[in-house]
Amino acid sequence: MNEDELYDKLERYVRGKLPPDEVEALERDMAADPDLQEQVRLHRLELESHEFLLREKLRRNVRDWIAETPPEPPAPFWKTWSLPFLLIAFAVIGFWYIGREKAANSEPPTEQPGPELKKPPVSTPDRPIAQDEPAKTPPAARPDPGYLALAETNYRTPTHLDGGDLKSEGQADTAATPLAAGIRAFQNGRYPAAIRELSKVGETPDPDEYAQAREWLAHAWFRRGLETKDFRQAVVHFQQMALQKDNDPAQQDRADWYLLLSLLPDYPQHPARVDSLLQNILAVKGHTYFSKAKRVQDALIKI
Amino acid sequence: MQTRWNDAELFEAIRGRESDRNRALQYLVQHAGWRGQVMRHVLANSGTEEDGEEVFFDALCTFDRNLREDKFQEKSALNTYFMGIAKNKWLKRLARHRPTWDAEQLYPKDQMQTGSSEETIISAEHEAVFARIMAEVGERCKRIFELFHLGHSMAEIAAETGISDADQAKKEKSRCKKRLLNLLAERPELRNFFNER
Repeated sequence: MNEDELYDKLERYVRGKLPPDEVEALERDMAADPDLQEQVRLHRLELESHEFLLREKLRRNVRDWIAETPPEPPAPFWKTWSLPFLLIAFAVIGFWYIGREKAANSEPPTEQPGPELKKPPVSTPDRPIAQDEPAKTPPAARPDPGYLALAETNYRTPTHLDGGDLKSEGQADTAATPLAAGIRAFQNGRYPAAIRELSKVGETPDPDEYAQAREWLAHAWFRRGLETKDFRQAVVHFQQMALQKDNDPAQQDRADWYLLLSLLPDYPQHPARVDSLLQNILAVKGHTYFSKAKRVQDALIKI
Repeated sequence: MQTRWNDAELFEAIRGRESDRNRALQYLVQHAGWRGQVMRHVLANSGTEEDGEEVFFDALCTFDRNLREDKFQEKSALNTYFMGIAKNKWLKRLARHRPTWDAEQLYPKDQMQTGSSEETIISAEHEAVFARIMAEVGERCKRIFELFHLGHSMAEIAAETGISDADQAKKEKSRCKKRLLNLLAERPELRNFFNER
């Protein structure tokens, strides 16, 4: 069996498409052949890497589909008001009926008293009225000051963003794009405005511009988090950046590091996530933020 | 007006060609109301909107994969199956991040969910490794892998990727595959991948 034939067979095996008799024979061979076991392991990893591709594509699609989903239109007038109207109508009819029965009972008693009237159900004010109403997003827990300080002192806007892509003040002022306006607002410390402008940058036509805007946006959310003590949006945006499949190593390193810093203020809520990110960075000797991550790890142990 | 898809149509489309699968998944995200169901469930059980979005996405990935891999036994409606997966995902997430949470408080034993809890989602660390490997194999190989994985024929792959014919597509796929296997073999982080999931 040549290499291509073997690969074809293993591919069918890991995809569950090999006939049972061939499966049995292959598993017998595997039991006695470590090299074959390794080939099967690699083919399983190959399958997982294909799933990874589909998953990343689906992630992008889902993001776009959610963004383009129109908000639910308000219910028509008759739908909004029909239920309360019906309830009121039933209540009026009910009271009228009860009143009529009472009037009948107050007439001179006969030999046989009428059946006791059943009380109408009493409303229970402590019962929630609209149980399906979606709950509001709970406010972020206040970050621990020690972890917050650790995140803040380790945060620097990356050098390639620090000067911005605006060549001069004049260009920034005259630039009419949301990206330029967002960068300008960021540089002036107006983070809510930066977030608003940078969120407008669409995915087309220039993918580099979009990636740049997303990175600025993530930093704007982090800076805003320092003001509001709520880093959840920074986490979301740096995580999206970290999971982009086309990242070059430098981008990936930045995404890992800033995701870590965004998670750090709320360390007690997700220690495993922070620890594994730290381990991930520290596992790569050439990682841009290796030494900084080491310092954070040491500081965490002390805290 | 959005056409309603029934279970049989969704099932076939998700297991079908890439374009059909995309249309079905888009319908589920935008119009089927499943995302809102997950969101309400997570919010009602101590989660945030961010948790809800993540659980919905993870559940959608598992649901999609299970259907393609014949793991759905057709014992329930697709929505019931999906919500079972989503609830299990949320339960696992709670257990991971809030170990003191009482699972039975959320899901009494007699109401345990039927969806598969099999872990098809990989860790962020492994995702990062796969991302780096895929960056090295190149765009054309990635596209070939996607189409092949979804069951497209070599002729379809050739047409989609601008390769002259099915034979050339097969050769190209073989070349891509060998490159990918070499890259996978070089990564020690993946040595225990299947034990760490």
